[in-house]
Amino acid sequence: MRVLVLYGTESGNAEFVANDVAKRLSADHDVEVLDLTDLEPSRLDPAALHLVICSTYGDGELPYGAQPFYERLESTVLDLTGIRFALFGLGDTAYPETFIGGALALAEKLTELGAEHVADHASHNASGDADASEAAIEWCTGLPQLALAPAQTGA
Amino acid sequence: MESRSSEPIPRIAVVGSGPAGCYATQRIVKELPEAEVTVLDRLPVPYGLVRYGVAPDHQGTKAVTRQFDRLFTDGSVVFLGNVRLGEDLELSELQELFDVVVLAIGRAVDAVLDLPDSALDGVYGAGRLTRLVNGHPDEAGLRPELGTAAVVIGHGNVAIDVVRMLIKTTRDWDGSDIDDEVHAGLVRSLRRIELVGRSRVGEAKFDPVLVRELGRIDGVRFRVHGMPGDPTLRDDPRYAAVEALGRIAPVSPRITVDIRFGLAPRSLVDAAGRVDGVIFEDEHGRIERIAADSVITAIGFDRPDYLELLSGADPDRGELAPGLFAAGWFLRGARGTIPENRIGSHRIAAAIVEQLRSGRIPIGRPGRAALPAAVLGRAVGFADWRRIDEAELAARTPGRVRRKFRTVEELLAAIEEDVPRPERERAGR
Repeated sequence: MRVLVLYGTESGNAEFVANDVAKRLSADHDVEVLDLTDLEPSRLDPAALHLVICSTYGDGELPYGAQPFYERLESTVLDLTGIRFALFGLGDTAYPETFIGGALALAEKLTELGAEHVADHASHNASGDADASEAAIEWCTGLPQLALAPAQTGA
Repeated sequence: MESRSSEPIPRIAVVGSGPAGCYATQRIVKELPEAEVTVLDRLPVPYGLVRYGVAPDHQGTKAVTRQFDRLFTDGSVVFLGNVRLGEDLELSELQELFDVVVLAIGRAVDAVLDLPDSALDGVYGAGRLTRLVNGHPDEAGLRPELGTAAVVIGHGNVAIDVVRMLIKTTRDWDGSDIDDEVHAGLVRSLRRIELVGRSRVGEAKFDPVLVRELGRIDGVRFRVHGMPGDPTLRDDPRYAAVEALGRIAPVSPRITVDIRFGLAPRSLVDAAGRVDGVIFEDEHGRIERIAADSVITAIGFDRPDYLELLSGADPDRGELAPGLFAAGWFLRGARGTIPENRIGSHRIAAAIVEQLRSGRIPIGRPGRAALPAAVLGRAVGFADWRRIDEAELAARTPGRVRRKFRTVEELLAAIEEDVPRPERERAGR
């Protein structure tokens, strides 16, 4: 499966998780990691599964690193029908009203433009006990689209 | 990792393992994986303000250290804690041994009120109090007497953090690593807090998210003063957050927080060498005297040394002299959140990498292996820190995520203690 791991970060946590996810998936899939800061909507690929890993800042807002992409989505003329994505939001229940608010805003914008989320939105709580990378890996390896094909060719 | 043939590799020393130093390191090793990078810290434990500045109940914010852990556990970057610049090692020695030195040494000294008598008993810096509740060894002997009424001066995030720390009770600290004994001593008699600043609400530097967080604590009555009913402020989230606090009607308040805007401190009231109140002046020249048993200043941070190196420094690229750079609060002053420092440090690292690649900074100094034996002998490595970490986690009490060691002696002793094998293996080498 072609996988694009897209991250929106501010403190580097989402980038860190994205790289760990990519490392784990690259054993079985064709994976690329992209920073939302520089990403053009035209790079979204109907043949790929997009894993969107995004944090939340301030008042439930997008992180600094995701804002340029969001702005490009707002002004794009593209129809994102056929684009498949799954969302993993990094949040902190110390700020309960805005938990993963930024990530949800991004998912909503993608959906508004026609993209389809292939799974329920997942999240990680920084104030919890789970390690964010481990949680993200567990989540994405559980997605049916990324299930291992039988008898995969070796290296 | 062996270097190819005898080609010298860049050898870089980063002084300070807080976010600024770690982000710079992160970017350097990403661009120059062959470089030898050594991160020094004067404390036996890494991560600077993440451990000692971020409040004990903001554990989610502290999770940024997981990124930094990887720098050390992947083996490429070496941590040398318990090495004090200016005591165990001089800057000039570092510059002799390393091709590049990055000073990410922060600004840890509380700015003081520019008033007569600001040295009275009962006046404390917010940084010191934050370090105290975070278990910093420098504050191990500090036992502030806040009395029944404390004035907190400042309208930034540090001031809001202090207020939150003082109004929370034991139960509110679930999931934190607060030093309970210290905290209990601080708030023992406290019934009233005055949060006062010279800014008007529309100029206040605090994050409204932190103000809203105050409203989630039970048993606190908030009274707001000096906030005009200016209709243009309605859309300002700071105004909204503060106004919302004023509308909370607690059933049986145990503590009152008065929030005041537009008041500048003019002098402290001295009662036999101890502060008894603060005289403020508003923008119209009206004087207001606020009684208090203690004053906590949250008006910024500075440092007493190394500042002369900064004259002529480029705040974006951080260059102080050939091969010498500064990053973080040391470079730009004590402003800037963790993510803001990521941007700054990545930019400085990019400048360093560019100069190394172009040959503008020559390569060939001996690096870490040539550090004096006395330095290498006292240095605490990352695996040692992991033993301290595991010991603090193991010592936690119910409702607390860890119990920090409060002194350098205790931290060093924890390295030697026998930790059960599974924890040691998880800690890694």
